[in-house]
Amino acid sequence: MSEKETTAVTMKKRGQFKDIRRRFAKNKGAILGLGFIVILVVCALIPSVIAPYGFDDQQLSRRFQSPSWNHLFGTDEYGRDIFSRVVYGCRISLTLGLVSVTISCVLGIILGCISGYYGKVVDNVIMRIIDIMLSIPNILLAVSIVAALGTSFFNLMLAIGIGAVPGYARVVRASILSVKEQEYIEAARSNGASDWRIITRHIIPNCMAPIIVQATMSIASAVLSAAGMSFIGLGIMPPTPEWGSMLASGRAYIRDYWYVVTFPGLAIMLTVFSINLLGDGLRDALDPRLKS
Amino acid sequence: MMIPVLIGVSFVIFSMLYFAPGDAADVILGDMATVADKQQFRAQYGLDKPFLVQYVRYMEGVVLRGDLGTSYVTRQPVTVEILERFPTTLQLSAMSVFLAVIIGISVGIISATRQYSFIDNLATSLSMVGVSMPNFWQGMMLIIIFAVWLRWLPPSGFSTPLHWILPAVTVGTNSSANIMRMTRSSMLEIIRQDYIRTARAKGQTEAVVIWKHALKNALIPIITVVGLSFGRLLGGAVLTESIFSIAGVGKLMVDAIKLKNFPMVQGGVLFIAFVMSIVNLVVDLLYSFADPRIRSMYTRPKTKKFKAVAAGEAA
Repeated sequence: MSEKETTAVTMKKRGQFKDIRRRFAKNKGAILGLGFIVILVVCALIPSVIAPYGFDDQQLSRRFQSPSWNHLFGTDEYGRDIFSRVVYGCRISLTLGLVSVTISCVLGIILGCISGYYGKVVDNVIMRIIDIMLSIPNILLAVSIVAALGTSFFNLMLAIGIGAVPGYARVVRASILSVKEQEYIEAARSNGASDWRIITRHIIPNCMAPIIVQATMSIASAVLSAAGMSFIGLGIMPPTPEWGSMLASGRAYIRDYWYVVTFPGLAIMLTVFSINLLGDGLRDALDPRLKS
Repeated sequence: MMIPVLIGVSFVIFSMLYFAPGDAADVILGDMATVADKQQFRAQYGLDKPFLVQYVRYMEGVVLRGDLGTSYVTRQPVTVEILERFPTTLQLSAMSVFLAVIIGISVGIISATRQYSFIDNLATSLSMVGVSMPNFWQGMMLIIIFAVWLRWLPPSGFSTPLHWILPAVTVGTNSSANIMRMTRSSMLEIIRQDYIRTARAKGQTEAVVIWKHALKNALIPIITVVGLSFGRLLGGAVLTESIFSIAGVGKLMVDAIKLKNFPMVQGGVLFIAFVMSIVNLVVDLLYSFADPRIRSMYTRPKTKKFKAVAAGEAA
């Protein structure tokens, strides 16, 4: 590629990016979601600055205090400040979401590429495997993986990540099929580009939009399933302030102390909600055709 | 399609649990058991045989006798224990899906016909909240409000119709969010079609246009979503069941995993995969009920090309 061509291409890309940003900025929901995510990220990065107490500061004399200025969200059965625990929980939930999505994204893109690009027998075999995985409910798949590997932070991420692979593989495969027959792929091939180059340089960049949207949305569902797994005791163990396990340990006290379970749950909900808003906004911004 | 998938599922889950760390004999018999006891336990359940032998023997039992193995804990056949719990799960899922379909489709239609109105915005935002809410947390909040504060409904159990309300509402509203979103987008697409304009132009009443012309054509994706959520629920609304202490399949599975009761886990997953494939089959049949184009595909498959085109459309 000559120098001139390269600049032309980057210029066009920049133009597209500007367009996308403009469309995104117009979407109030997406901006709202993004704003809340920024707050979460800040909480995840510097929890010790924001939280007034440590996440495991037990003090039995102040058990089950109702929400007040001292303890915004009240205190739990060990007298720990729930607000501080929720703040510390951001880091865990966000890490979990990001890492598990990275796992599933990478695996899914590889499988989807192979399947969509090479077609025929390979495609058939991979898609049947995907069908098999899809016929096990996600949470059960995750539960069995954790049961087999044992409960740990990494295994939880792996389990949730693997459960999401089929979704990616399908999205990637579908979008590869849609661009595979385009002229520019043929042109690249007639120039003698290798399969690897065609896939990484020409096909994947052109399939990025649905992958980004899928990735955003699946961070949301990863956060949800992680909370669910911790809730049934197969995820992160106390005293780590994971939101799901906070709900699990607070569950015994819901008859008398509503705030023990209300706020961690709200945190989960708001996180997932804002990620979903962001995902919706990204979808509309990246691919205006999809907007209904 | 169904049988290879089931064989695949069984193989995956079997090998996963086979290679899992932790010996069943240690877990079940405890620390007090002697080495001989453990040896006898392994021999009794065939755990000392090589991997493939174990797998083939297991599948033989499943296919020929419907025998999913024996639970380590209760020493009862897994099949019996699952079938004992299954009606409860089935009932819960059926009620929830029924509720979800009613709410989801009606709200979805209202949203689509009045796009960008106040009702539409409210419904879309609420459905977004519904999708984002952890099911089990919603259940707990409902318990706090309706069972603890208002004392209208019992907080747990599944014995009388009064007990059914909270779990069914929890699961139903949660799945209705998905159904509503799908109904809305599918209806929005259909409403812009020419044949809808034609129907209106010939003076058809709005109700008939929406229900007969539009909804019927928008049905395929809606059926897919309903089928998916029904399948997922049958697979054990694991979390909901444990919140409301309902003795269903989901709770059975979770308990089994905690106790490393592997035959139960294995049997449960296989059973759920089986149920889900039946649901998928029913969904496929419903497609042909909803769409004459798909129906005609099966009555006179002309050439391969024709089939491929039709399949592409359906997908």
